[in-house]
Amino acid sequence: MTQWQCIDKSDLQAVLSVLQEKRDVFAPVEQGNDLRLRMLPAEGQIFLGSRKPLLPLKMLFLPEVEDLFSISIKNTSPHISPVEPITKERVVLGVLGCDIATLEILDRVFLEEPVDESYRKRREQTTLIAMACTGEGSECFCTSLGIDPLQPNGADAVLAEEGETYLLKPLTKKGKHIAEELQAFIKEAAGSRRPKEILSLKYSRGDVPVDRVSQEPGKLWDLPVWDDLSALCLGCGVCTVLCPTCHCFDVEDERRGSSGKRFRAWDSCMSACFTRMASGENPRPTTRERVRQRFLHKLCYFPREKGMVGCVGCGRCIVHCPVSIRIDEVIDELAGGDI
Amino acid sequence: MEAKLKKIAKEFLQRTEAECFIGYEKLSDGSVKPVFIRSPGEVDRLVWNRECFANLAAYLPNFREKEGIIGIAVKGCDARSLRELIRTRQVDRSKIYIIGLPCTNNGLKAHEGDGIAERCFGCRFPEDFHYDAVLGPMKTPDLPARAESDTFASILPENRYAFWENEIEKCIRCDACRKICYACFCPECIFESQQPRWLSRRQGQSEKFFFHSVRALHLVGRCIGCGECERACPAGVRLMFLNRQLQKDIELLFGYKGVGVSEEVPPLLTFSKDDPDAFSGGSE
Repeated sequence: MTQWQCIDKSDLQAVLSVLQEKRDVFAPVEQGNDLRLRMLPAEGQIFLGSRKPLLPLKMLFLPEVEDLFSISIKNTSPHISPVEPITKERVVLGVLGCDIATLEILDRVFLEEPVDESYRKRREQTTLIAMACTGEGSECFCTSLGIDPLQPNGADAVLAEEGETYLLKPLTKKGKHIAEELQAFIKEAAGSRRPKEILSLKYSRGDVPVDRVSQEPGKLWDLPVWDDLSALCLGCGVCTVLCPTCHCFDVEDERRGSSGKRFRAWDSCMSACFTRMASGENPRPTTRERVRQRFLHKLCYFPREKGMVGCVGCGRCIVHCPVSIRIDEVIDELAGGDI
Repeated sequence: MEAKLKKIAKEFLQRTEAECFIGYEKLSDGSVKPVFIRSPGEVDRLVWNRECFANLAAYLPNFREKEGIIGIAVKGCDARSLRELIRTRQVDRSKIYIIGLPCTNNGLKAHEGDGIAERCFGCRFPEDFHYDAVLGPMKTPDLPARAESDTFASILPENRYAFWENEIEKCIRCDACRKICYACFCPECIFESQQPRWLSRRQGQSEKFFFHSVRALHLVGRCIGCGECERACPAGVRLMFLNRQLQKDIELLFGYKGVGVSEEVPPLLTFSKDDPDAFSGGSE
């Protein structure tokens, strides 16, 4: 069993420099109030603690915009060149348990046949160093989804803050490899100290009844909750853009003269054009169908198809919904409707 | 005042032709969200306080197809947007029942931090607007104007582009600013059009700049400065820096009194035979 190890906070910059020698390193970086995952070195302050970056971890595995190939036509014959999704090993430092748990969900979409090659490459070549999290605010409910924010599953190593030091514990082979590289900075074995003893969870509602939502769409399809939600919902895409598990994308071609590119970019089921067909027919014509799709995809269809709930309880959608729609309350409502 | 609101809303909902009443309700964390009340028994959910930010008039075009009458609570500032929706025939005045919510000289609370909300600076109520019922006199509260240093014009010309670039770099293209806006009621927005697709899904500065400049310019003379776009923005883009400036410019250039303050048509939606400039902008 690997022990917790100890790194001085004052060594953080040196640790990052070592990691950056061979890899691209990403971490949450604060600029004013804005916290985002950025590649280091970045302007701003690295933030390691219980706070989620605005855009979730998925952006490093399914980028907002990703070139798929470029095409050029020379002497009437087209030449297609693929785009390499990733050129270097990567380390992501300081992500929280909720975001890490999303990768298991995304894996069931992108690593099952047909495998999405660029996702697979990014996944294989990335080491995840999680930050032990005590919860950010009243929006958090990761523990309802079985996530342990103090020592998240799926991370390669976990980091926890204790006074002037960070405790580090490798959890996988990739994580051990990193710890070995950082030997020079490891001061002492931290002995019996564990994040669970030094940190306690401040927030994370553990009683959101996700498991009680029926997996029979027919039972949920006509509930009055959809009328209330669709009256209120503006139909913007804040929830889908910020959701760490939303993974729908659109493919677009662009052409300039005799060359062009095909790329994919995040799409949103909250938008009317998401399902609009070439004929003009739209199977989800109003906000009612679109709101229902968004919630049931996560809470009913995904569990039914893939065996797990498509939500990790990070609460970004709760914090940022301009009209205060709360997925935890929707879950309460749906679970109640099934009893 | 809340008791009066509940009483009037209840009386409204007891009418057979009443479809629903749009107001505000309080959440367990103390914040306020829009609520759609459908039966007289539910009126106790209604509140009216300094956190009632949302411009409820923005919801009215969604009810266009409904047979019945929609009741709505509006602040004086929101009444300006409602008047504009009525003027542009997005809302049928005979199918709405308007309850005016008077504000105090404290205005609404700032969304974050101390002070007053964005919309409250330079507050102007439409003093000749017709409400069906009011909770008190709908008189413009005494609130300060924006400090000169808070406007786009106060930034040195050579720094303006950099300021704006820095702001829109934060944009995540979620559309919240567009969807929350009362004035964004086009049945098909240029940004939603698929054929032709005017705006690529790329997330570059040029796409973001295109989005924000088209949106801001399309709203000149229609933006009431409610600041809902800025409040809705999850990325903290300071959209009102531009909107405020454009409002100011159009009032200065055309002697416009402001959206919905009177029955005046916004200058960019009309023409004047006495216009001193050539029609085409070129020489005739």
